[in-house]
Amino acid sequence: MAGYDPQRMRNRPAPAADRPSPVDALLDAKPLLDVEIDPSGDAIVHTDHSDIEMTPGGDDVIVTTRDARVEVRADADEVIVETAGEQIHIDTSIHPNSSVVTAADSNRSKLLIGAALGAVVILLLLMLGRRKR
Amino acid sequence: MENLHSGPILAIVNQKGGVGKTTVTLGLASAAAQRNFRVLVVDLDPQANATSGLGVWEPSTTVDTALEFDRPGCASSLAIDSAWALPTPPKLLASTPALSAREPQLANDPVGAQDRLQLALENHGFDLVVIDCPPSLGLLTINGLFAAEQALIVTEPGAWASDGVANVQQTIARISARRNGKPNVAGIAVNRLGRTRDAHYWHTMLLEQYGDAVFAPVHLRAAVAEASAQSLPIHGLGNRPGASDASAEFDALLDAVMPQLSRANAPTSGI
Repeated sequence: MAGYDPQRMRNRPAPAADRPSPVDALLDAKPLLDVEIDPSGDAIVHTDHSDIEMTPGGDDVIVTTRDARVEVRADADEVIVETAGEQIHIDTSIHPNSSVVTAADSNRSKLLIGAALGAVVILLLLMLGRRKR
Repeated sequence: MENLHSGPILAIVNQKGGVGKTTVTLGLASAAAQRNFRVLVVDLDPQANATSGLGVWEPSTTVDTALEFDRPGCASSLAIDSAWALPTPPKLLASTPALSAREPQLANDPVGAQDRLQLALENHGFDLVVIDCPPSLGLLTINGLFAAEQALIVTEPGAWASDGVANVQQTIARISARRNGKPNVAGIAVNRLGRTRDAHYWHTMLLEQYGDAVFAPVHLRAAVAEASAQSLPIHGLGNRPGASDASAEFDALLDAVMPQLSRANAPTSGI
């Protein structure tokens, strides 16, 4: 044993305490969602780019982003989209032989409507499996 | 399990693999159960070696359920019996290979998932909970360290394993700083100390670097490997040569890490 040195004087460095540790990235990762419950029982989900308000039954949903606001009301047969200074009403009542979109005035608006509705569906699916904190 | 005293939670940890975390987990569980303490083993390693080491091959429930959602206090109901023939056999929160798919889901969980196991172990009602952490730094290990009050670093006398001690100490320090000092490092367990001069060199290096934090070693013995192979507790190997020596070393390790679980404090009989 005496004199045995497998390191041959090349002593191993210890991790520097003043440098980021690999665990920091995991610990500092912010939740993608912050769920707030207001006194009336409504859930407000805050993300980096949007706020989603839901009534306890999930009947009314309001999604607000920097560029748009989408309202889905249980007591109205329409979805209201406000974006780029215009208000778009989407008729969700059943009309045989008619288009779903009734008040879009440009292709850009149709694209926005599609994207906004897609976002609502994705966020609703996301919310279904999550505990309200 | 209601109204029962909930004892300490100990995480067995090292980001380095192959150092014997599962061996030490089961050795400590065997020592505590032999003294009639109620022990829960939490197997967080998707390889599920602690699960099979406790004689369980097809668990009906697993720790994956506890990690899926926030389920406060669910550990007691998810714990299953081990197959160890001891007066008070340990219970098990079993692992499954499917746990490897849980880790990326935890990392991407929209509301954060660092404390799922901690919530699951609320009011656990056991005298000792031992968490066998996986050999990597991810959300499973972080869940284990968030749940634990103390962390026992396991290493073996070798260059890379010694590097692992410094790395995991840093990891624990970062977590502890965010959790009001928990977990604290209970100490360093040197596992599989052999008779080679290289093993003695690295053991000496650990002692020089970490001093009193290094507990008396667990020596390399065939009996320990045979206990694993037969899914038996080391204290249940009978007269197998080396078994009593290995049992005594795990007894000493338990006394050093958890003095409150000494033989003097042991319950007189099992559940």
